[in-house]
Amino acid sequence: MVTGSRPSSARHDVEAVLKPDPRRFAPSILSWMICWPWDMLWSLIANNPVQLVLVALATEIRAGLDEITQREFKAIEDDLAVESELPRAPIVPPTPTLVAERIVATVRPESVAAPVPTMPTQPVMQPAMGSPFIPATAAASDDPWYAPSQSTGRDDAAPNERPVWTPPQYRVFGQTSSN
Amino acid sequence: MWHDFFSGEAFWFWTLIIAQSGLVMWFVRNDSLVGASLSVLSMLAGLAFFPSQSESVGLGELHSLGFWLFLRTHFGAIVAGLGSYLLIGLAWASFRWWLYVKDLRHQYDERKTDWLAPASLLNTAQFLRAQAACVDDEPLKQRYSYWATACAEAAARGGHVLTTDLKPVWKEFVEHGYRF
Repeated sequence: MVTGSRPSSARHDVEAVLKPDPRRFAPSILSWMICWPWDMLWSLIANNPVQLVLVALATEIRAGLDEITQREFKAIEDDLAVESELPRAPIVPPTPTLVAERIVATVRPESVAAPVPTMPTQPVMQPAMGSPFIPATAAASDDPWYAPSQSTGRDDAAPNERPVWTPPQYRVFGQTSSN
Repeated sequence: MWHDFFSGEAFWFWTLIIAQSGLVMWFVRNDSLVGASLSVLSMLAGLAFFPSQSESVGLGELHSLGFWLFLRTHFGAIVAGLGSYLLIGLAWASFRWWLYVKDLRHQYDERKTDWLAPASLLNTAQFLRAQAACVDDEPLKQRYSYWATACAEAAARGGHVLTTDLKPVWKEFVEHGYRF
């Protein structure tokens, strides 16, 4: 590489890390200016400045192209930037049961499509009206989530009457379900 | 044949040119403006001792007209040539300055990359720990210990990043001529 002053001296080592002041280097600059043919000849022989210029040129061109890309993609990056990532679903390690289920699903997909009926170990108890687990206001309302189970029928329904399933009414703040 | 070659004016003329050119390069490389300028002037003055060779460097008319008449006849061309020479010199000096500054920057980047390598950071941490054990000044001891910890942590993280903790250590390293 090109060095203007004695590179081997300790003075150079310390000065190299400071910002060079052209006024302090005036004698060197003047000698480069007056004796430029000889300096140029030596630089071409010893230091290969052509390569340095080509590398610097390539770097500048690359930086310019990067800048163009950044400018053009700024709007896209702004669109895709999110404040915070949603928490990802935890990765469940494959348990033997899970592996077995996957194998069954691969071999006999129809067996997986229909849920396998399971026998409850104890009867499912529906909360009675006025249960302490259900707010009184909710229990009194028509909210299907708090209404007695469809399978057991309403309190006022006949025992053999087929229960009619009504879809749950989702409520949105400021709106009623009829809207 | 060799006797004719060595006794001829051309041999000594070109010997003078090559030797003086080498001298000019040496002076320029060693930042000696006076030495370089004197070498150039002495080379130009030396051309006067080889009148038969003036033609080969394009100054045949100088020999036939004489210096002063040549100067008066070609004053404009000489001034223009000198101005062009200095203008090219100015452009070259600017380019040379750019090369020099670029070289300093390159050296800095190389040393920084080397210093931020995990092995180098660990060495620095060990050195600073040893320094902390040696010094008596309590604030200095604390500072060296803090820096040693910062270097060790940076090495454990894989290095290659100049963190805020490492900056004062790096500054100290740089200001001491890339050494502690």
